[in-house]
Amino acid sequence: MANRFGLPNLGLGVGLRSPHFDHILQHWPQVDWFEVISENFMDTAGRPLHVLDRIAERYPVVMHGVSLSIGSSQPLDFNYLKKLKALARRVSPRWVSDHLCWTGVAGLNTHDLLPLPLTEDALDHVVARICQVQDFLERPLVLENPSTYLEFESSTIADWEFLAEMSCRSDCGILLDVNNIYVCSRNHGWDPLEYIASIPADRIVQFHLAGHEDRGTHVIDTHDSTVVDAVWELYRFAHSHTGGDGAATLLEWDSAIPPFPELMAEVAKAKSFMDGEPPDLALIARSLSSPRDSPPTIASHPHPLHHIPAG
Amino acid sequence: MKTDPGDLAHLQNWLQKAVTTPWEVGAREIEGALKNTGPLTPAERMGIYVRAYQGRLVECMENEFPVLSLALGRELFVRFASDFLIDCPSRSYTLHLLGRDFPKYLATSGPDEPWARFIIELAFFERAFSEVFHADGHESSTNLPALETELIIGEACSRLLHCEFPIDRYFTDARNHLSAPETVAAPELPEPEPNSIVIFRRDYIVRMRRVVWV
Repeated sequence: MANRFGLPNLGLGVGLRSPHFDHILQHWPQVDWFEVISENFMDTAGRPLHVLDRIAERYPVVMHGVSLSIGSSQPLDFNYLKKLKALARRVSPRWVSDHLCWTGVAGLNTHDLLPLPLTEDALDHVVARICQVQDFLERPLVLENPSTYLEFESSTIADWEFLAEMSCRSDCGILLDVNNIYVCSRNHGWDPLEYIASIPADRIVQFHLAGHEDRGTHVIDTHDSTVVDAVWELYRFAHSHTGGDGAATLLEWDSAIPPFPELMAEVAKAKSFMDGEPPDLALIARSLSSPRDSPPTIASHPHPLHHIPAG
Repeated sequence: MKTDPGDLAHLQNWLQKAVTTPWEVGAREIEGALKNTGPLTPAERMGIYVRAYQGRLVECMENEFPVLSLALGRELFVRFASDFLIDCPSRSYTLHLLGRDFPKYLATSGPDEPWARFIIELAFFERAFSEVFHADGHESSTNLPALETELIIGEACSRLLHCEFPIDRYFTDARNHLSAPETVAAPELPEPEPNSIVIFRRDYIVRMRRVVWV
């Protein structure tokens, strides 16, 4: 089932990260599309923007933000939105996405994707703001389910119900992060298959895949390694949930970033999970119920920020 | 803590305080606000966000000030950066502004000793380097780029710094060391050597030049 927005299935893409700039400009590798972190290009007139301009001439690009703060109780930042819109005008992304989260209140910014209390009030609030943003950007917004590590006592709606209801009421698209569903399922005891099955397939515009760090008692969404088998199986299930049409699929890798060819090899694995075969439910169940015994020694933090340093 | 399900602002202000200034929020408040679904306790769950907040922003500061981090030693850099983030938390969506006031912060909190003055000068220099990297440059201009130092100094994206120490030399040596730590030794802290440096940009590459005043 193709998405209701008529947005194309771009194929298999990777996140554009600054350590790969030179490789891409020298080799123009065979990759279907790039996803860029919007904020890394909104306030620079230096090399990052120059590189993005050149890449956008040759490849489809999608803008993925981390600072929209759609769930914040503080007013929308129209200065931010103006810059976002200006960048979109410049690079003509196929779509613009961000996260179902909030990043700060009272004028502060934590630069984290903080969880919302999942209540009817919060749902009304988020839906109203998505409509405002879509009106301003003059395009549908695509929102991603983030990884979370806590749940509020005051929440009354399941995460997947909130996401589904939000997308239907605001008419926005969904970027379904399959790794985040796995991470949350491990951290909160959710059923990842129920999660995916509850999402309206015609609203899924894009999938995210990534690696994580299994710390035994919980999982941290670190984006620093290959995709684990259980997440691949969930991806298989998610792909079939779209009726076999699939959706643009993107591998995120933000820490311990490997050489570009390794990144490409990892995302290419996705092809073998689009075969229509049923997912290995036993493998998923084992992974959820028998996490590793001992946490690794390296403590990472979730979803590292990708900030382009001067070079 | 009482949490009103309808009061989103209240809950978000509370969570932000718990994440950014965790010493101001007690364990009972956390237990009252968060579900206890195991295997982690609510406090342990909150701890993931607390460590992430500090860890990722300090990491960003290290990315912007790698030479300063080398000169200070990582432990001291992390301490200064952490203290700075408490006193000057981010107020912008963009991380480009995160380290803007760090040199000024060091200048107001450091002692007036040669070592501290070198560190502060280095911080200002490294921030200027970053600003020139991201500034609106001359690359799209049809005019030939200026060669004369006095004209370069006048360019909007250039930064002129008057230094007590040979920061430019230390900066270059330190970056060489950081890119090949196995083969290039880290530079020693330099002796004073007053000079002026202009930091500018050509073809999207940041350059620097000593200014000789005639």
